Amino acid sequence: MFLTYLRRELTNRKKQTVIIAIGMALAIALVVIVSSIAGGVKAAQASVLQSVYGVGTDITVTKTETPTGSATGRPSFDFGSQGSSGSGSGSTDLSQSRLAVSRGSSTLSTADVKTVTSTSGVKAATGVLTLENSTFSGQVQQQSDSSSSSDSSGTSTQPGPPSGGEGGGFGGGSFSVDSFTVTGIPVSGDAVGPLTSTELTKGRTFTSADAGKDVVVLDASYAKSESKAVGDTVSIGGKDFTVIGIVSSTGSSSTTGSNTYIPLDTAQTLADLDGKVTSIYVSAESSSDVSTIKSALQKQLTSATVSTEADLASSVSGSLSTASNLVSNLGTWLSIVVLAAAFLIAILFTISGVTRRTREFGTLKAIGWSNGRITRQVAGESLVQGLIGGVIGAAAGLIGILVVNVIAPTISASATSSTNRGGAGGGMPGGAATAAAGSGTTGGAPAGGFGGGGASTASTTDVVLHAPVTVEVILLAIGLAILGGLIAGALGGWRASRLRPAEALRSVA
Amino acid sequence: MTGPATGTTPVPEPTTAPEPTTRPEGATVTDTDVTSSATAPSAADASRASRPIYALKNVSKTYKQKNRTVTALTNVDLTIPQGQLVAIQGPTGGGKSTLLQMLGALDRPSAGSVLLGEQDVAKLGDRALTDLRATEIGFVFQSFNLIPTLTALENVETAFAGSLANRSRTEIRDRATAALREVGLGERLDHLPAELSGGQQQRVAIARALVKNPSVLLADEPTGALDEATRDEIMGLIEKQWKERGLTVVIVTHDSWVARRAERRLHIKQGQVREV
Repeated sequence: MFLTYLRRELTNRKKQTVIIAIGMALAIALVVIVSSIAGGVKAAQASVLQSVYGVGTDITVTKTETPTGSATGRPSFDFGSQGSSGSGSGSTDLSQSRLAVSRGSSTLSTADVKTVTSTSGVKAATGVLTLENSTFSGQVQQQSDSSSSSDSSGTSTQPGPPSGGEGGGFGGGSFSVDSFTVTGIPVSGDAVGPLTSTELTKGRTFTSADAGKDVVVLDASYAKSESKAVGDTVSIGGKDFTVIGIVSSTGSSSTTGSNTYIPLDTAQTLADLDGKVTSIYVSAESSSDVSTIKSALQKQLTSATVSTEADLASSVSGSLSTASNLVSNLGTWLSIVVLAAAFLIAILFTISGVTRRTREFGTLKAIGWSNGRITRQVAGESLVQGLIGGVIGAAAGLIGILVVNVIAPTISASATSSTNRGGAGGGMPGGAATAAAGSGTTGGAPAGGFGGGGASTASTTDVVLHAPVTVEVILLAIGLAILGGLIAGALGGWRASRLRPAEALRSVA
Repeated sequence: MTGPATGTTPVPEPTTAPEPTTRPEGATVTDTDVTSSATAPSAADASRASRPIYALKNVSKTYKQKNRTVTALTNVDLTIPQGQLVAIQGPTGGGKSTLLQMLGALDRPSAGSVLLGEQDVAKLGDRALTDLRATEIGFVFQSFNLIPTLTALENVETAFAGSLANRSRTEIRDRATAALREVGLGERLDHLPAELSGGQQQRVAIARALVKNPSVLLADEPTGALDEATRDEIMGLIEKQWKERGLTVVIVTHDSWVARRAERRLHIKQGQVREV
């Protein structure tokens, strides 16, 4: 009887069924799409982080620059007396390469790596040295010479304002700074570290025989932009390195964490940083240990910054973080509002349906139906209406997810490789402020040193957004539909059970 | 439950009149009564046969309507013997519907006792009242009150409620089919109420009321929404069932023609019941 009655009510009162189902379907579809995209955004964030920190990195240890400064402080180019030697020519070409630790970060020692490795719960730890190779090239004019030779050399250089300096100073000129990231990694092929999220597309990776050699592995997109292939040479810190391999990201991000990879000891020697690393990549025995390890490491390495993957996720910026915020704020609230509206519609329609059927339920009570049976009947109807809506909504949501995946929007993201944007002071006096991005932007500066540009080395990458369909999302959708149906049904049933059986006689005057 | 028994029991009018007076505190001694009947079964059977189906003692019913109290029934004493066909008439608002609610165990009186068989409606909880309605009382309404989305057969099947609900599907279906055949609708089992005429709908309602073999059939203006020819037809059907089953039938009606066909006529006005 229950099922017969249920079926008859649903099919013979189509309008109510359809309205409740559509309302529920809309809400469920939205929830499915939003939660799926949220999952996609999370995966994209993880992928961006993986491209920087490698697969399986649970914790990174870095050190931020101390205010007192050190050798790793400001990059300075020393041109000596070149400025005054080119008299008569009117202008002088300058070029110098420099390899140093990325601005804003400081170094840790190899002893720290050992400390980390011996910390309980740590499965593996790898120390890497991330450096920045800056090539400064430009042209200066001599003040004394008033000839107006061209002041343009680089494509995107910015002329500095003429300064009123006297005697041997630069009278103005144009410079370009080309920089790329260099990561020194252990040649032994560790289980954790930046290269674990890459795959070799050409050539080979490091072997232990490469220790101390001037060999380099390039990021595929960097190699493409610089037109380098295996066997070519790349100048790093003024030395020529032979390209032995090209790697590309295995994740959905388009670039790997660094432009170039060289053996760790080579990097340490070249940068005059023997026994130093900038980051330690740590993988934990078990993901549940991560926070314990983090606090243990923080105690032992007091001056270092210890970041977990969760901490790092906040360092992902760019349109990906915008998408993330959009999904987590707007998307979530929209879902909640639409879901609440759908629930409300279901509840109101169920209650108004019960009110319309006052005499029907009164009659059933008069002929001996219990309150429980009537409540079950009403709740059953709402539940099925909710479920129909849930199934339609889940299907519509899946179609929506399919559309997202077919469009596969590309989202740019950047992860700062030093999680704390170090307190680098100053700013360039009049030059472009974006001198230090990994893609090699340029900036001009007037005579004088750099005041220090952006403090962090950002690795910008493009991530394709995939909205994954998970069992959880489908279960969530169906669960919500059931919940909505139950709430509406419970309220409607409660309302019906409160009707007095004498209502059946009410139509009689 | 008393279906088979009432079917064989002769109509026992003469012995019923003194019965309520010999049991002044009838409501309170119900349990003792049951025990005694268990110890002396033959005597109990005899007493049940002569017992009234309804015994209303000093029944009052008041409703609270906003700020004022409306008295629908005032100190009603009424005994209805088993197997009687009673018609209740009276002006609108005189208390007809309220009396029917008391008889139908739809509501409890504000004061007094309403004995249906051995059970006091005034003292039963909601659950017990529900089961009493499910097993002992058949209801027929003025506007038929069929479930519009269910077929004639399914409407009759809804009568299996309370302790009757756990009968097997086949038994329910067979009995519902038989009940519809009995009211002449064997060919209309799968019709929705909207596809039936008023008279046919009332026949379905009568089948629904009687399929569970109740002790009592309560009809609230059963012919009020029907034309004269159909009215005669429905009254004929009710009378036939009354005679065949030994049912107690209470009909509330405005229609004097209907009332005249009853064995006993009651008039209710301003909450007071008197014999006509």
